[in-house]
Amino acid sequence: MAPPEAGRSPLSETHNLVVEFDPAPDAEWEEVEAALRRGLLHLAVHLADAALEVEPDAIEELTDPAAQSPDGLPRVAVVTNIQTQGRFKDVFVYGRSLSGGLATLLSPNELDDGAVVSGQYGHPALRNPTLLHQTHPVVAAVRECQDLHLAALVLCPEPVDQNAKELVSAHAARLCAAVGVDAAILTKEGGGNADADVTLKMDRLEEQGIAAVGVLPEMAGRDGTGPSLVVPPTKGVAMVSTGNYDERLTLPACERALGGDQVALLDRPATEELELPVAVVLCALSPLGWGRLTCHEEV
Amino acid sequence: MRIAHYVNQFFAGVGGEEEAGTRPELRRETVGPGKRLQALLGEEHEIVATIFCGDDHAAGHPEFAADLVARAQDEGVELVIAGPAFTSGRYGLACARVVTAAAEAGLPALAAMHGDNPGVGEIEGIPVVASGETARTMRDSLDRFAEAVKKVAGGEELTPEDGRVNPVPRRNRVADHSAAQRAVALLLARLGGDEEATEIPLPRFDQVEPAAPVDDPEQIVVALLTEGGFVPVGNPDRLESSRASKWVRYSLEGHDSAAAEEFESVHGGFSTQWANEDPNRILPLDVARELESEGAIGGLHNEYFTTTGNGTTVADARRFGVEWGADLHQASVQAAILTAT
Amino acid sequence: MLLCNLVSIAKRVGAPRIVPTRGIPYPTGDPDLGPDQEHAWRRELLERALHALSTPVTEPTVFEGEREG
Repeated sequence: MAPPEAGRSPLSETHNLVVEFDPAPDAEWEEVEAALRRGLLHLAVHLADAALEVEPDAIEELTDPAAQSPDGLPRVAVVTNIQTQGRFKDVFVYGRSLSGGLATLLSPNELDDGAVVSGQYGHPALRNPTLLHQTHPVVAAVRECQDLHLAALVLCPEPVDQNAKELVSAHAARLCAAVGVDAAILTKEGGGNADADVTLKMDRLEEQGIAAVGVLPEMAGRDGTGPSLVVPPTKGVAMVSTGNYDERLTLPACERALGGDQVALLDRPATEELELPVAVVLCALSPLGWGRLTCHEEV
Repeated sequence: MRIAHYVNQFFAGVGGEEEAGTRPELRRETVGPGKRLQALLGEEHEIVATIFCGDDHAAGHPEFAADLVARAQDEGVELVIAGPAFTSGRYGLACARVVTAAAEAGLPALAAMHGDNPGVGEIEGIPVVASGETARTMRDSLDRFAEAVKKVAGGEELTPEDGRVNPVPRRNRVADHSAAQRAVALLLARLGGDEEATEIPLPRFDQVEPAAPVDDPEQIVVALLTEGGFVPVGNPDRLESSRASKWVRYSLEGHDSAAAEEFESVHGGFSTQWANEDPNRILPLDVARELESEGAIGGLHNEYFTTTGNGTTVADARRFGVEWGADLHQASVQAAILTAT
Repeated sequence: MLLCNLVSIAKRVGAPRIVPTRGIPYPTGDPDLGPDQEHAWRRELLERALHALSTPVTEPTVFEGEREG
């Protein structure tokens, strides 16, 4: 991405490898997706192999969360909702979809080992690519904080029906209570209905006496005056905004575009100046809290 | 700053209801409430033009607003203000159209009217400052309006403390820290006893007045509507899969069921695998036809309306709803069944 | 009237007459059922919708089925 909107996606601050692909003419999209996902993992291994012998820039030692917190620090769970809404809307935990399942407890270190792989392609700005599951920004931020102890990672499906959302949320809160956490930070993936998966859990956690903070993008309309959330919490209050999905930004013309020549639906060359909603900028509203975007009333 | 001030035919001194058809006009002087407003604004800002239009003409000819704004721009106007419209509905709507046209032309704008004026709901993102209910409150209303004009002219955002009646826009900004780091900071504040801290205040939602019940379903025409991105196969009008900016209508004539080879969902918010196996799962046409042939309903409207409810803004959704309501009313449809995904 | 699964959202935004359904991606279906059963379920939903349309309401009202009710 080029300035001046560069700061809008954290991907503007990383070196990115863009893979272009041409599906075989008769291939089903399901097969293309599976091939692409496996291909990207192979590519990642290949790249990692090349780096294996290189002197590391930094070494971080991760310890397993102990049952007892050091020095009585508050015990924090990171509760990450994983999209489980069918083909092209699924995320895999050890190769399986959590669809139809319940919340599951993992050591946060399993993320670093690659337990979670994304197969989810909706809402570019609200996507959590595999890389971000492996380097989970909220997990990293809690680890870095000297005043908190990262006690657990809870992965939850985002079901496609209300009753299941309520069941999973209540269960996730009880799971957090069972492992004795004092507080939780919640993240999601995807658009409108996935708000409920965060805010219902905030409410159930607060009822258990567990302080809850939700990380949520807003859908406040083009002019920023619409309701920010589809389903606001009723008991929880503390939320961090990753920015308004609907706000427009202008991307200046550029010399070269990667990943395709045309911008879908706009029917315009990708190298032209484009006015677009933030919603289409990959990771711009990262629901895993990667980016620095926020949203507030200008007063 | 050079200002254009919009008023209706009454406050322009043209006349009352009998003159409501007055065509849009621009005068290079202050007129009516504009005189006092100019006195309150002092020397820094000048109302260089009064623009006005009859309330009926404004209601029936929405293009009057862009026309007046263009003429004001020819006078070198840098700010457009409208009102106060008090609780007068047509006047409030005209003010809404004028400030919207000004914003579209890239000019800052401001309207004044009572918070209950329906014009408030027609204005997005442009400040509206409160006035009293009637012209009897003109003096106070103009005092507040003048202060607000000065603030807007100075490039400041109006707040509820200034008498703003519509929501203050929320805007994206790049923070010093990532959302993950801010979540940790917020959690520490929460654990420290701050029960109120948040970056997202709880939103407000519309109230909907329920329609009266139908007396007898067997006597009425029922329409099927859906926000399930439900289109003929191939999506001929290219309905968007998310952030829809439009809705579309398709005929149901000759269809007894929503067959998979004829209809599909292009909704981008969920997997469409189930919808596309059997499109009746989104638009229940097969059962609606049964009910029609059995006489359980008087008839099924011969077309359905659809949009994609996926990241659609509330403002757009509200507009679709208003248009659907008006369209169905026109077609004498008395009830609608809307399926939502 | 509204046929939808996310009843909490529908209530919050003030939809007056709501009939709850079984899943976001299939408001008038249920892929877990056989074809005949699914058709009967869709029929039940529409009959309930007609009942809702004939019932006076003053606020968001959920019309549950007898089985769910």
